[in-house]
Amino acid sequence: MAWIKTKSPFITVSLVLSVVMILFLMVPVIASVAGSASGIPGALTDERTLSAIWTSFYCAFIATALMLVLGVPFAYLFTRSEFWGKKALDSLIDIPILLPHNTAGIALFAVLAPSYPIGAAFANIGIGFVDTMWGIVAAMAFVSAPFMIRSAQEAFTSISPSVEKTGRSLGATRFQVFRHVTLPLASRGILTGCLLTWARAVSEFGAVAILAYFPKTAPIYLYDVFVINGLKAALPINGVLILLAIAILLVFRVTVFKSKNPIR
Amino acid sequence: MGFQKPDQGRILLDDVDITGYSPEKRGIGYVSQNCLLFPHMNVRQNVEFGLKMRGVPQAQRSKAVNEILESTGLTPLEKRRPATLSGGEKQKAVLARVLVTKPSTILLDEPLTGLDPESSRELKELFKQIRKDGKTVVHVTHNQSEGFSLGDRMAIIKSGEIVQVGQTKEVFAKPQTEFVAGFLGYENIFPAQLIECHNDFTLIRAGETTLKTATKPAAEKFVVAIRPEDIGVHFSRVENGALNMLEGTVLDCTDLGPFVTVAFEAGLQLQAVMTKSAFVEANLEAGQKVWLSFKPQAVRVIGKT
Repeated sequence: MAWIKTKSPFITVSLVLSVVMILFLMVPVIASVAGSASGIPGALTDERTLSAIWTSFYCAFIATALMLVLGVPFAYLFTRSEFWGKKALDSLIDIPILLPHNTAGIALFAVLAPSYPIGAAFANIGIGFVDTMWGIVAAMAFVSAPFMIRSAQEAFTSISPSVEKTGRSLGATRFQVFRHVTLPLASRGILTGCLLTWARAVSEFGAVAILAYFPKTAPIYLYDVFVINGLKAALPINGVLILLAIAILLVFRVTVFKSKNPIR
Repeated sequence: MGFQKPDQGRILLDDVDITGYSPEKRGIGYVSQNCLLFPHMNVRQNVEFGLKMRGVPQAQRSKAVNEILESTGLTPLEKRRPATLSGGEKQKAVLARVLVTKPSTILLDEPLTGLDPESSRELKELFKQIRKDGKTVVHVTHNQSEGFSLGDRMAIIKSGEIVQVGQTKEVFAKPQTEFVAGFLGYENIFPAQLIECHNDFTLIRAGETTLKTATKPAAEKFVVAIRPEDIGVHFSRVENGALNMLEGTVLDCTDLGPFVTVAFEAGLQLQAVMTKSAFVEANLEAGQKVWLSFKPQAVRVIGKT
């Protein structure tokens, strides 16, 4: 902390701005939890709250698994191959991040509703998206896909293609090299992608609200309670969700940053 | 190695056309200069990789890996990750990983680049052993001494084309182009002109000097090359009519550790190599007058003779 004693105007100003930044982030969180502390135990045992949280967690998990299966192979091919339009496609990957979330929901609705061809095709095999769990999964997957793809891309980019070629020269097939060399080396990046995808998915409100308001996820249930019963009723649920977010953040820190580096 | 398609031509291995074979089906061992071990595996797992991918049973695999680790001196390092190994140890592990798969041919792509002298020496011994075991080794290098010490045959490549190929000794003795001569360490390369042919030597003109060469040039004008280690340095004229004897002046000296290169003006600008002890004993300085001698056989005519 010797830098604090330097008395440089730049350091002093930076310190003041940093304190403002921390307060901006922390005060609403702490005040919200503190103000609703007495109601939190009640919210934690409320069946509707728990059901909404379970729906959020469960659907986010499925959305993450789906993105793992679809996003990782895509990220691998995208990283390792050159093709016409690659730069354009690269920009398109980030579109779900840039879109207003209700825009994403409407876009999905216009494709997955049973009155449209793709939605009708899914409906024919018994999968509906409007006001169903699959709708929640689709909305969550759409908005969180870039997090999985970008994390996996970064992980694959950091692995030299020469290492993979060495594996091939030793008699391994492309799949064996991917399974035994590439995937283990990219595992930390992919795990980070999974956690970011899940975290982004579980917090989605806008797209889910448009496509599948029911069954209610935690953000939608909280919104419902706030609109119908007011702030006082919403604060304990809000407090539970904040505490859960903090717990997830801690798990994230422990699993990713404390996990064993595969190359050490 | 099968990662890129050739624009033209075929690749034959034991008379089998392998041009269209994928890398894993070629059976060629590859050792690059980058010591490409799999960073998430320890030395043993790295060495075992090729056999595991080929479905070799565990017991057989384990025996083969133990043998190769022993013969390359890697047994004490078998549990170590690549990040904890020195450059030489890494390269040995790469070599062991290739050897354990028993390839018929091994491609060494500048395998000694960047290694310390001791590791380089140890690996050279391993390479020699591989050759004794009857394997074909293609060793790519920019270092002429590696070529001379390890190669049976040598191909010199310039801009992707082979400019000379032959037995190592033959290529060394008879470079066909100035590029080959320069690559092989002929530092004294000059344009020359035929004066007259005698029975046992030919008189030629190079710069402002007349030289004897043992080779009969095929043309009036040609290029000659003299290796710096073929030039002797004397304080007085050596009376030997068979030798080329030039009076010269020391221009510059460059200390290379065990050797010193000395530049002379003797009607031609010549570079000679002296051992450090001979140089210290001679106490040469810039501007000093000396005599330079070299045999007619040392004056090699480049190209057709």
